[in-house]
Amino acid sequence: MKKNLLLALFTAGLLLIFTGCGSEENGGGETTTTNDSTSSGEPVFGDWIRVHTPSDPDALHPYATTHGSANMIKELMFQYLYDFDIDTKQMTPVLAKDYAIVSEDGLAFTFEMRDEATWDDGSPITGYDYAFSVKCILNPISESPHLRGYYSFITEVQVDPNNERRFTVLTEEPFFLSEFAVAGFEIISKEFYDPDGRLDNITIAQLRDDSLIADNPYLTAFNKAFHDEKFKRDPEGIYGSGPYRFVNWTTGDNITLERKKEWWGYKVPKKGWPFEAYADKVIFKSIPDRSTALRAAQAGEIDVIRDVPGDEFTKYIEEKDHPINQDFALHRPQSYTYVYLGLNACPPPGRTPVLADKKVRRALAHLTNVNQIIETVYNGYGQPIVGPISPLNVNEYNDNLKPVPFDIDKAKSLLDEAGWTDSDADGVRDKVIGGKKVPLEIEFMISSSSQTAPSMAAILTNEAKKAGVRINVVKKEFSKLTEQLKSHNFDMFGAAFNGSPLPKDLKQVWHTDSWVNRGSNYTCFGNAHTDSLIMQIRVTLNPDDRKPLYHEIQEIIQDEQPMIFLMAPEERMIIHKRFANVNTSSIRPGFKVQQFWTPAEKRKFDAN
Amino acid sequence: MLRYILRRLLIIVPTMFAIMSLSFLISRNTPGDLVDALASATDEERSSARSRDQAKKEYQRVKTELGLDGPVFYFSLTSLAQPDTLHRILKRNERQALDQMIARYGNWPEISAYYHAVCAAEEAAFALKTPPDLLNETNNVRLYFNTLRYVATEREIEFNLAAIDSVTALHPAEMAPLTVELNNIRAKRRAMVEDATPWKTYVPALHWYGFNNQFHRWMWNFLTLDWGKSFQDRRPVRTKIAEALPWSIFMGFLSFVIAYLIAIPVGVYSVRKRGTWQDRAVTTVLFLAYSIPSFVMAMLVMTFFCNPEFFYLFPTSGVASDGAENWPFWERMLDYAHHLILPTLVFSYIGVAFLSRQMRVGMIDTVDMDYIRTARAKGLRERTVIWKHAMRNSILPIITHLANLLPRIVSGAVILEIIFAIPGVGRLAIQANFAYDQPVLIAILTLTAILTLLGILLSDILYAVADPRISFSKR
Repeated sequence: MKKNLLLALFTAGLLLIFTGCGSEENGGGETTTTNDSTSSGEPVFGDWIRVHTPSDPDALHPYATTHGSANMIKELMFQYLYDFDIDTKQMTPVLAKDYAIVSEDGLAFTFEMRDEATWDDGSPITGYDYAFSVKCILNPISESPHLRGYYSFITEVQVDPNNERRFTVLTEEPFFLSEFAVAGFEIISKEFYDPDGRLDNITIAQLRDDSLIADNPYLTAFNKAFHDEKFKRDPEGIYGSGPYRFVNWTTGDNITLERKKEWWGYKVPKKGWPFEAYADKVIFKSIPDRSTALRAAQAGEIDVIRDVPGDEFTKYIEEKDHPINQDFALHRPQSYTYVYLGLNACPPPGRTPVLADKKVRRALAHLTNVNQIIETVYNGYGQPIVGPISPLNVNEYNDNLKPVPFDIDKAKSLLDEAGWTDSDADGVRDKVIGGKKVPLEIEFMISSSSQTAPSMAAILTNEAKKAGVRINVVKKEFSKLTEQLKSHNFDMFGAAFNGSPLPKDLKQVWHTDSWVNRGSNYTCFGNAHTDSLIMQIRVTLNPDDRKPLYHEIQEIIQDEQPMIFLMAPEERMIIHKRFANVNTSSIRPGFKVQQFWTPAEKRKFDAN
Repeated sequence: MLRYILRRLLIIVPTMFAIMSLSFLISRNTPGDLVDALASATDEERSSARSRDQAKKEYQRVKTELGLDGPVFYFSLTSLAQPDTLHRILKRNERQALDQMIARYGNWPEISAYYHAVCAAEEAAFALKTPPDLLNETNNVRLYFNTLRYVATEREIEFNLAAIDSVTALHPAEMAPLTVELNNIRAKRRAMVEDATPWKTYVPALHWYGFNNQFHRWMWNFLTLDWGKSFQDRRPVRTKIAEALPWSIFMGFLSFVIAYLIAIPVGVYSVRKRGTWQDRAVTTVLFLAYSIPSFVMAMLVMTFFCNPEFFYLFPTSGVASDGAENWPFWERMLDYAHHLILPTLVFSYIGVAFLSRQMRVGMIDTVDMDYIRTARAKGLRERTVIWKHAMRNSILPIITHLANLLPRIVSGAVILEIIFAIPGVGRLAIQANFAYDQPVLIAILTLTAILTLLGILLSDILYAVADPRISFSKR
């Protein structure tokens, strides 16, 4: 069973913050609205929206993409059964008429497509399209094998013979995120992507099992055609049910989408963002250098920029007459991401006898001046946190927990208790372990390309010194660093993890399975009890029943302190003031451009 | 002349081969395991035996896809101790560990036996069924066995073995199968240490692998213009470079022309005004210009010429205006030019400063020559003296710099392309660098090397054209 990790769509990705390679996961996030729309009234069509991206996506293929920037563009062209509502942070039906009818055992989900939902040629979007999409994802020889892992718990899709819009999805085991998972991937047109029906005679059961499908000539032929360059970058080959159509890609410069004048969403009587789209064009402009992007914004060449550097953003807040403020509104929703310092808590005899002791880990947490780190390293754009669950996840968050305070005296007494004393008065504590005197030295591993890590390391080292702990900062090349994390060959490292409004599946980072075999549980957290808690959460379908389980595991995590939790960062974006109906949230990418509209008198671009 | 060119071309072939094999070997020795990084993105759950198998398969698949299979080069010059089959070991870190052991003990059969004992023990550890309350201990033991596969030093091996011991000693009944494996490892290790034949490592040995090696495959593909696929988006490297080239050629070539067009007259001017305040002014300005880094200059011009606060004459970034894809051909070309002028000017200004100094130095040497005085004495006009008689001799040094033209066009102006968001080859290379995109990087590197060689040849030929005294055919 491979209902892995978090679901592909809302994937929580590990970002080693100390990398310097900006990674852009498609994660979730919360917080609303600085609706700066100064004009009210009926939305009107027209105008263009120009959005900054730091680099081109790898492709615009419905599945075979891995770059985060692809999702932001693709979500205007491909649609899901459900998507996050930016206001309520709930998953709301988009292509689906309503929420699924769930069978009693929680294994079968029955959906019905909206009556209005059609492809561009007017043909309805049906259960057959859904089943086809599942087959494409489960294709064992595809170029996106990672998706297969997330969705291989789907065992069958049954389309109602009397109503092709109605279908039932069967799954293997109860899983608390099943409904959102099966409703959370791009639905593509069977007619368009497989006109010859090569997948018709291949079943989902076959696709789930490698041995049943080996060298099937139909699958091979389909697979080759499906991953053709045409379906990745050619305007003729990108075909979805969303409000925009892909018209141009100038490599390294821009990707242009055009609004479909006759789009099914306009026919839906109920309004709401999934059925709106106003701007005639959305242009994604690829500018690698952020300060150039900000200059371009100032010159009126860009309308939306995400991830504005913290020092620049502060400047805009403080200098009211900064040119940016004339045209742009500042948005800073809080995110579900958590930034942490991982400690090697592998039980003895691990690599380091030092950090295996809970008291030492706790002492280090007391020595971490979180507020100063947020202020100086992150320019104040962050909130302290207590654990891996974001306070925004109100159903799961344990609000009895308090952040570990910065307290040098407490740290000292903890170290004394643990038997670490400065016996030779050289300023560094030591302890006799296995007949040998070991100094209290910890290696803080940072990536050599990171910009934030050195200043964070300086703060840590300074405070730790006061309590007789020596922290040695070691720079490592990125690939070397990940290698060492996987084999638990480290003392301390820094990283961040994304979250979403959905309850978090803790298996990837906290289960002992991903500790032994070079998975993401670098810190060696866990025992039989926590494993069973994590697995229990996954099969408990009622949110109220999950709550105590979530609370307990958060308590254990805080007690064990395998990580020093630093903060949940705030997103920083600027969006042009001429747009109305601007809602931001940290559900990536943080805004829905299809909602934006421009009052006629402020319009910058005439039709075409 | 023709013979000279042919001879030079012949010399280029072995030089090229040397450069290609060097850059290839460097790329194969970058730290970290690229295969692991790419393969692990796709396998998530790996603790069960089945998924361990899958992970291995995935690793093998990626390895083959990247062309990292088999021996690296035609031959290896190592020692007698080194087996010629080491490249068959799947994982890179394990290969490296074995390499270290070979260097120390020199007895491959024993080392191999030890390695296989470790692998068998690891399998056994993962297959071991233990009660749930021993989960932590079991996991720990598995981890240590796994680690043993890729550690080589006495200290590390000893540490891991002791670690396993300490766990198995506490739970002898449950861990019994592992004790057997552990004893086996110890026995093999003793054999390895005791029967060491370090002398073998001092006897050189040449292993010939034949043509089925990584380098040969890569070079052959490169020469037949199959440059592989980018790791980032699986597009052919050739297409990516072909897309980026026009921008870089435009900027590189134009900035070169501009630099020469400005630098030569400026150099000549300051010679004619030698010692006057005009000469000193020119020198000062050029020195200042030369000492400003191009990225600072880029920021400066952007602030003054791409900013509504000052002069908004040029777009800040990119190569095309919004919606330009629908414009008629000539308007589109003009739009490109409008976007590229500023970066091109910034790209050329350092060249201006440098070349005009070179020009001045060359010219000063020449104008003091007797034949120039003779020319003046003949009553020729100053203009003719300088531009016709002096120029030809003093231009030689700056012809040398023409050799830079070709590689510069291909390698692009990295920093400027990033700042101005020009999708040229320089930006392609930098982004490939951050993404560990080896096929793109090595293709650009090799192309640059080839063009550097051709550039040098070109400047040699121009030398001969400019100065008839240099006669290549007689040499």
